Amino acid sequence: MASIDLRCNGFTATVFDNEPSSDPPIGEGQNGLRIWRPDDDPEVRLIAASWLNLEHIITEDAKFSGPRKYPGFFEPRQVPIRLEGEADRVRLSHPPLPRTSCACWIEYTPGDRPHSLDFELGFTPTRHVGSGEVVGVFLPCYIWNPALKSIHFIGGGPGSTHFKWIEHCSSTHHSDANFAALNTEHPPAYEATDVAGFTTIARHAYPFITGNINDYGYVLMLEPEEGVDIRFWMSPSGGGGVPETPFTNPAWDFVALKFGYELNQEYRAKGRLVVRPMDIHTDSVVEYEAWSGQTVTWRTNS
Amino acid sequence: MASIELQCNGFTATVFDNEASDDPEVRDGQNGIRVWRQDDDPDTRLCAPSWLNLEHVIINEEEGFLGGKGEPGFFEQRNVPLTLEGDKSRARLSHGPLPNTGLAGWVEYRPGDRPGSLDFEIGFTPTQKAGDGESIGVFLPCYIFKPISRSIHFIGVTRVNSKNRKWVEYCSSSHTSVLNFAGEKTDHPPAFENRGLPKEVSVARWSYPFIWGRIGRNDFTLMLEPGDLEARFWMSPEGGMWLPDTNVSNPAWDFVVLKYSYELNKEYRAKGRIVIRPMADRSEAVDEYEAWSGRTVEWESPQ
Repeated sequence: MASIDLRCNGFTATVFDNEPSSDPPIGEGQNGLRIWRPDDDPEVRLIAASWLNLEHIITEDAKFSGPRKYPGFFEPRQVPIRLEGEADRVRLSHPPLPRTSCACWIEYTPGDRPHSLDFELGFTPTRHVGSGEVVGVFLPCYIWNPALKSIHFIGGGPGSTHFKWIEHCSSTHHSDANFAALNTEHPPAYEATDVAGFTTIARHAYPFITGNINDYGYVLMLEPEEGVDIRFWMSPSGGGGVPETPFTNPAWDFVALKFGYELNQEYRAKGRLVVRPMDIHTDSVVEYEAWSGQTVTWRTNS
Repeated sequence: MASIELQCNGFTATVFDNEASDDPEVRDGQNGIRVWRQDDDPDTRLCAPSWLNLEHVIINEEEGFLGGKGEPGFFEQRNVPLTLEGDKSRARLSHGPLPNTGLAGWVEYRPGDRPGSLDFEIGFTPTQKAGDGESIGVFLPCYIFKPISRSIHFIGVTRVNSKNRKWVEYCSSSHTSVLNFAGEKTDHPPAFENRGLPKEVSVARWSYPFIWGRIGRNDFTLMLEPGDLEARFWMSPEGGMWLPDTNVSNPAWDFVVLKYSYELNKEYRAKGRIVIRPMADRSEAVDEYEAWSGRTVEWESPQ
């Protein structure tokens, strides 16, 4: 097992490869961040197993719930992963995978604002898999025992004239409902299925989500390169059960997808995670605007 | 407009008929509780705009939850005069057979015997077959003002893991959703389970008929004793309207009591309780439910 401590502004984040660890006690396959330790609250536990880990390769838009028979299911977990870096930069990477042949990497660096961590990821398809129309990477954050498991984002339905704060928590893990951008050219596959007759699923106006981890606010923001779609997803129990309690740990996830991909071309997205005490509906907007350079507006152009 | 103040243990609840009111400023049709004022926190607003109001008659299980305006029971009770009667220890709203569905109904509110609690009982009498004639019921919402989280929480099971009961949380991302929560042992599975809902969109079931949620410093617990009726819980993230100053909407935390294979001119009843008070955690909601229902919450479902 290899790990590297990243010294960040107000906290330490420790990145692991795919081997199990005893401190924290985490099973194999959970690469990425296993520790996020605030300097002024070192005993608090925020991570259930891991955050921002290379988890699945998505080769079918509709299969976010991760059927085990799919070739990319847990595929990055099951290979040796290379960890390199130092206290101000850590990189995980793997070459083309045995089933999907997608090569991936993720790099973590301290952010320039308090309690922020930046990351960038890249993936390179080396052959067509599944329908051959789409490929992407799925990265979860397994949250430790929050009182409220919902994710929140600014969005609406197609045709909305005013954006709102949307809150979402699925009642079960088995839900393909995920959140695409309002202006996507690739509407989620479920919008064309029977799901539409039962429930309308919102879209995001800006590529960030927020949530409460008890006394902490959490903001995950993304900036995909041109042509890469971002979807958010959540599971109420993806992070497993909280031992000896009737509670489960949610997963707050995202997927970066490329439709109409070319072989041997790398696709990239960058992002930031901020975890600190905050009012999530106001401070997350401040954090997103500071990082992205965008101004959040509440009225659409339509 | 008529109203009655109920003097309860730690708060005052004011019940209104269907007429509009200025204080609070609420439009016509929003019968039920428009004011829930706590003795030690009288300025905190909780209702947006009403709770436990007679709202819809459900005659088509699935369309009823979607609130289709074309359904005959849609907002039907809002649109008729209601009789309000009672005193500071009991308030009763009632109506005769409705013009579209023929359903007569009432709800009665009384102070509960524990701090922060209000008891209620509902009755409805179908006088004609409506819709497909297979089921009929009433839909009562609670429109919540600016909660910390719009989610409802309940103890329940999933179809994949139907033995281990867990706390389930749910918040829909949009108002337009028929997804609702039936009892784990129901003889009448929700229609959406049989109508080709993709298996990838699995919906939990409740194990005990109560829900819990967070409203600011207070916790909200709604419990039911449906007797031989079916109880379903539902929520909308914006049923209680939108707050333009914050870009957040007020959710509706709703329930439906349904009778399958109903008889005409027979009254069906359910009773319930709402508890509003600060709780250290949701285990206190379990305590409230156990104290009221006389049941003990078990975390493993008998198979």
